[in-house]
Amino acid sequence: MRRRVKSAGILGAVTLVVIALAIVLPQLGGRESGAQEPGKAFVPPGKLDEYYMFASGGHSGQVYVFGIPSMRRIRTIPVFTPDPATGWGYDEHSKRMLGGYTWGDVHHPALSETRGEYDGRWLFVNDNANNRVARIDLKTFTVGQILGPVPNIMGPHCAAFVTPNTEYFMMPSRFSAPIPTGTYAPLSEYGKKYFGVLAAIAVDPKTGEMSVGWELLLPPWQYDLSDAGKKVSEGWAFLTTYNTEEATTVLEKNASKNDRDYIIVLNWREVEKAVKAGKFTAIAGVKVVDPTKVPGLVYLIPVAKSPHGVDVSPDGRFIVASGKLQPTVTVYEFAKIQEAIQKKDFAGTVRGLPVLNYESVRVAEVPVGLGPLHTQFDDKGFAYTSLFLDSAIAKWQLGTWKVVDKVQINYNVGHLAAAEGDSASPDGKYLVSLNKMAKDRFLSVGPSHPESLQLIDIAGGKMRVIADAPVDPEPHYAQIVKADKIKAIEIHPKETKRPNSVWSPKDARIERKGNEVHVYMYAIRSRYVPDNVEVNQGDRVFFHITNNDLDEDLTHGFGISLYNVNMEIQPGETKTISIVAEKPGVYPFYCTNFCSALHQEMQGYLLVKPKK
Amino acid sequence: MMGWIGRGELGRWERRLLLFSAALVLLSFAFPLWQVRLIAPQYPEGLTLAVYAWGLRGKLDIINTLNHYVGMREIRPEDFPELRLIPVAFLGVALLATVAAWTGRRWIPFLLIVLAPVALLGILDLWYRLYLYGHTLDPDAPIRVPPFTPPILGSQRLANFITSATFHVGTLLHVIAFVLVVLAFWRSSPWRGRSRS
Ligand SMILES: [Cu+2]
Repeated sequence: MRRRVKSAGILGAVTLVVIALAIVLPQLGGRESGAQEPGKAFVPPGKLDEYYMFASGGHSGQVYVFGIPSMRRIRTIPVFTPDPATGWGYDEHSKRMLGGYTWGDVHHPALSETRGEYDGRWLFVNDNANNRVARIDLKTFTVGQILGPVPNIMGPHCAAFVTPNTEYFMMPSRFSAPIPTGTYAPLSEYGKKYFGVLAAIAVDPKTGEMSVGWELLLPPWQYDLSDAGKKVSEGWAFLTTYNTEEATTVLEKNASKNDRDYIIVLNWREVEKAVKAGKFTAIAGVKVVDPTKVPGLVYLIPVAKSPHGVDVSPDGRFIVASGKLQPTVTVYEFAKIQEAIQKKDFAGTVRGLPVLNYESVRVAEVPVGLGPLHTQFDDKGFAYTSLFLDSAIAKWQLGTWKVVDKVQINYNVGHLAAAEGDSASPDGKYLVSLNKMAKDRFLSVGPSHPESLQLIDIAGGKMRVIADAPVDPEPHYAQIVKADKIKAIEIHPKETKRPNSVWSPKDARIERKGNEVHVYMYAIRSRYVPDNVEVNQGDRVFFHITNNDLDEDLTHGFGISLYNVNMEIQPGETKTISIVAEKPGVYPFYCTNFCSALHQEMQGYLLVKPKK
Repeated sequence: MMGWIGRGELGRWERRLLLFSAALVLLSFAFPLWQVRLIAPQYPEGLTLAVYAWGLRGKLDIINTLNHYVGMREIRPEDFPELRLIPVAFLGVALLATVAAWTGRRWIPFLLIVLAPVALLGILDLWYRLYLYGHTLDPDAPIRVPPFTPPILGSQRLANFITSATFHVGTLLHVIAFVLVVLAFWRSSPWRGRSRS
């Protein structure tokens, strides 16, 4: 009896311990999946990161700059969306660049390349919403040019993946539409009057100036992602396309009917020649080439239905397409593609474009897992494919086509970015998983959570998640570049000939030209010269302000109460902001960017005399 | 007297020493003579201002901007006309030393030694300049500090700034050149030669 009581007691105690462990253990280790290995991502205070990561800000219209491996967010670069803190979209220059648009949808940042390597000069980002593209100058981390809306294209999701010497990047339509842009045609005429158009944006190798090089008329399908050929495949570009069903309603069902869609194989050097030979039609002022009339420019390769990413291996030999709705990535070999083209090994044509024989060009179907989207590469011959549905990343080997490792991520990975991953020589080391859901990974902030970035150590044989970082919506893609390639300047050079600049308080002045008042203002910690400005109601007032503090990080601000304007002026910079003095009265302007011990004194009055 | 002291000829070695000191004087143009460095918690890298034989170099604009908070006058290179004399004087010294090496005239090193204390005047001038900057402060300045003399050598603390001043490589080269001239003069002394023989 006593023994029975005793054993019941032990049993009870064991049960309690098990329950307690069941409650405590998961809290100790987090979820077993994605448990972090501490230390490796730690960068001590005062120490700098090894890499920059440029992540697209999605529909925020901005670009986020991170340090890797610390995952510290260093800066937000305003691109397509006004930003009062910097004055982006408020000062005259940036207002003109934004052209009245107040948002953009940034998807794929691309660093400029020289001989297939990131050269640290520029970053190009597309606006999927308004058919634009911006160039960020990495000396100042500010936008130097916005091109567009580019004529004839609609929703350039694909961009911007640059060619190995930044000759071009391709901006094809995600949404086929009648052309030129602004043309009406009913959906019943989708197959005839709608076109997918690819714009090749040419980049000036010296200045980075972007212009529309030429355009290509493509079938009314949807163009999703692209990559430029490199090394052996240099001179070619590859795009994925879906909705070859040409559906115009309930696409989630109707655009998923065909078992196969296509990879577009594009010989852009041949297109250049065709343009030079005059084989184009001008549409909306752009030279548009029809590849059904000029053979040798475009070929189609069948691919598992509704593909998403297409990625070229660092040596340019392999083209990897992710199936999205099929648990495999399909690998094609460039040499086989060339052979098939030469031998005219075609399986017919679709919409006038030759289709290469799938069996002839495909070298492997790698069973990576569910929902493969994108692939990146390391320095040791391995590929890493994101699996949206499995919430995992699969590591597999080029050549053997074997999956060698998988790591769980949290949750729903879209793109992934490897260190120097799109260059001809990736670094390995780090991989960042750009996740669409954060769910329980951070303190809750209500029903909508931040997106989540996870840093994965890929230096060893096994992948390990070593850091989590929340981020605002929504990085689609990122590129990671060695920090020493970026040569940012600390102050804007003192250009005494710069228009509207003032470099001495003696030259500060107010000039009236009819109804226009120009204030040439000198700013230095902690004052404006002049600091009181009197105008008449109805005047258009321009403030041209030069920050004379040629000192690292000594940025001034300029905001006017009740006049709805604000901007920063960086060290050595001259900026112009204007208002129409419609409201009579007295309105203070002041330095909004904390600059100095007497920052609070850095102010003045705008006195608006009422009309009589 | 000069005739007596400067009597005699310079030997081969003495001439080499003089040529070498002329070279050192010329080399001094490449280095600061004097340097001041301001360090603050927000300027860990320091703000440096260096005086060269040919002018001022460094973060003068930033130092001026900061100085205005205590009401110090703006430091402008054009306010130092004496700085224009320095290169002329230095080139003159180098030329004299070269001529001495060429001709072997012993009175030239003697002249150089006699003129050397003029350099002390330069240092005195620098000190006076610093004194003036620290003692003619704008009474309406945002931050009021008691009048002070920025250091010519050594460190001083003012508010969040530690100011450290030091003579630099350029001055050191001049000191070495001077020692060489003295050595040349002394070695060639006819009196020294007589006592040895
Ligand atoms: Cu300020």
